[in-house]
Amino acid sequence: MTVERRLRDAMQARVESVDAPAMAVRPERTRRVWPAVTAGFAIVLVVALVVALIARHEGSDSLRPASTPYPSRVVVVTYDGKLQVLDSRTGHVVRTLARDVEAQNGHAGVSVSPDGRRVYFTRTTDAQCDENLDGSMEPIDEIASVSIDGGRVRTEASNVRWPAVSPDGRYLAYSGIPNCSDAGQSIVLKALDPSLYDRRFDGVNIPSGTPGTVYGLAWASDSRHLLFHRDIGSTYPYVLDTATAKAVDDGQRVDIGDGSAVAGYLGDTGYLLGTSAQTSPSERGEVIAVDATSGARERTLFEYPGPWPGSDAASDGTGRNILVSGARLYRWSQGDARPTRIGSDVAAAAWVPTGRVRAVDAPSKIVAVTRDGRLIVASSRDGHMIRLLASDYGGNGFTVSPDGETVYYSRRSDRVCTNPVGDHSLDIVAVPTRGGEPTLIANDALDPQVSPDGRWLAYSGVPNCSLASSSIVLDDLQKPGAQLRVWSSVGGAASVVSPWSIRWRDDNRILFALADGPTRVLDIDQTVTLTDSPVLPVAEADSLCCRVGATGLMAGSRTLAGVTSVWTFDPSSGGPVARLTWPGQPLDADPTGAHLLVYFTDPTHPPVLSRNVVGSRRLVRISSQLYDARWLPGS
Amino acid sequence: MTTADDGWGELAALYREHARPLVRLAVLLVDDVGIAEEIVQDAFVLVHRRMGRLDQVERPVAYLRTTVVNLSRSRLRRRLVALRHPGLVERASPPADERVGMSDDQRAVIAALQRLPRRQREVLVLRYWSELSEDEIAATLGISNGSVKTHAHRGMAALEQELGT
Repeated sequence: MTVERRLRDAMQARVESVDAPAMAVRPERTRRVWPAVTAGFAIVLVVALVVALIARHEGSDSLRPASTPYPSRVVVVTYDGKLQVLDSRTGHVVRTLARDVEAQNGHAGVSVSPDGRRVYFTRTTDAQCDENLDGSMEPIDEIASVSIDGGRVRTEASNVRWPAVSPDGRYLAYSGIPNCSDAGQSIVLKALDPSLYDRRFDGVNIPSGTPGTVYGLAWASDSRHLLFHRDIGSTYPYVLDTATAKAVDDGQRVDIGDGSAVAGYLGDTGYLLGTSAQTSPSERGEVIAVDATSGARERTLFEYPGPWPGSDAASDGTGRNILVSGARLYRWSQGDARPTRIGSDVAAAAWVPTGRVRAVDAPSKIVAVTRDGRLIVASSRDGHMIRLLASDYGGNGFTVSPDGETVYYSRRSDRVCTNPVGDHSLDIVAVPTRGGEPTLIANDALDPQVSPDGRWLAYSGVPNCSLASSSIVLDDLQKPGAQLRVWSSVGGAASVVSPWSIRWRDDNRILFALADGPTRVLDIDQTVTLTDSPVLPVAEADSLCCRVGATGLMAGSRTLAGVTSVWTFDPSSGGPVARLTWPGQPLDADPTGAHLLVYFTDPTHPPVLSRNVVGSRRLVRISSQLYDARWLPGS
Repeated sequence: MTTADDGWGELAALYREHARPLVRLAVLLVDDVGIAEEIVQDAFVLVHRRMGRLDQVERPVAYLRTTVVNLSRSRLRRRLVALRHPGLVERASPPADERVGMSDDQRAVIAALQRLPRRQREVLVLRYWSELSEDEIAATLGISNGSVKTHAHRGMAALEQELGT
């Protein structure tokens, strides 16, 4: 019998000395449910074991994209108080940096400097204070640091907890604990850069509410906004703007509301990293991405098997690699079907930044359009033509399927529209990237876009060449002939879908723009009923292109002061996030999001098709003879 | 309009429904039925004194539970004082007849539970007896969710070590 079961039985027996009539108040569900839960848990474990063995046999590692190299080291604080460096692949202990590392009241964070050289952690000192409600003596906590290579441990600050080094390495943030009290705590920024001053935030800067610990500090990638928790027992975090030292109030808290907890930021994605509420040992934990503004659950990143108590999660700077600590330590990288267990009994964990951008290989081929309108497969190195796919490309949009097998493009048909101009209508056809005859997919359509999961083909329907009545049409590629017209107008006759504007979000939702009025990008889920109103974020984008990086952000173009530049946008809020330096149009990102194709249009140079490793400033020239291109996945 | 009578009715209903479960919770924290009943009584007296504010309490049962845990903690401290000063009235151990119906193993488990540090004991009792969620435990004890996990893990590990599996 497990200790848990024995404990439950003993507690049940112990309380039976309380008078009998009251026992009826005790719900029976515990006795009935927990054996079932335990049995269910055992079944889940067995099934998980079998699945894991099968996956191992089938070589599941081969499914992991080669382009998601996770940092090679992890720093952990174990439940028995060791600060250790682990090999993140195997979980083997590389080095023990310190022992007896634990805060009085459980773990209180571990943080690594952005250069990966110094580890900051909380530990208990020999000093004591007597400020607890029950009068008991409790030791004082302090934050200390040690080199990643080991050596002398240095005290950074006393009577403080929850260290968090800013991504730019300029500040060490922590919560101050005046006089050992759980009330009236402050947030302190200790300057690691000698040219800066220390800063303290309390009183008006930290929202009022139930007095409680300030804990769970985590920096946003901008090294300006600092997330923290307050109001013990609640699950929502607050965000402190350290630049203005104000405007942090109850109205700015991020309220998740479903019992999930926020663990910090999901790298530089703009999302928060959260863990779902786990209420029983048999329940699988979830690591989720949370919208930083609304607190809405954006998507489940992955699940992991229990057991209770649940776990904390930590992301690296890219949002691509995540650790789950707790009774078990898991590592997960974007593209992994499931997390990999690499340890156990870890109270807190953090990736050790590598301090450098890791290069990954781009696809070796692109599908591109030549200046005379031919669709070709070309080298991504110099634009040299490898194969001619079609000579009848009409310049009205093309897309490559995620498996790299098929190109969908629009071409001019023989049919003539009855409009005054007498245009020829457009068809969408599919052609294999290995060459072959095109297959007709749809009439009166342009700008095909395959969904990220490869199932749907979205395009603009333009009956009788009328762009003024453009609609969004979805074809189910798994059921040929199954067509779903999604949207023909928005907000009345004055608002119609803009052709050439349909783009897929990473989560298989569609973004599209309105053809008239201010540029607004709309968001629609193809699984909802057709009459559902879409969300209406203002994207402030001239056009959107594709997911970029591991961030969940989308690249797009935006014109300011007459110059059109490549920007990243948050596909949920529609807000611009950052400008990526170069003037021009983003065309496509590869499946990993690590490489971007850009049509560079600096006024001082001839336009040229270029590529960029996301995260670096450098654009690499491909060809000035190509003006539109997509990566060829798998090449 | 709220009247004093409304408050009494609410309090009485709370007492009828929750007094006994709260006594059971307190028994597991202080290991003495008599003291547990006093604690729960005291908790309701405290609530009564704050009747004017009870309607402002979002979750009165959670409020009562927190009060019971806090009062149990105080009583344990007073018991420690009594152990050090035998002349004081405070009873230092529960009556022997309270455990008549328990097996040797169950007694050993309860004894091991009582030897745990108070935070660990409180977390385990709230989790495995009261079946509170992690968030509810954190709110009841006034600690963070991470601390709940840590105390739970340490508590179970200590019990496993002492009791064996």
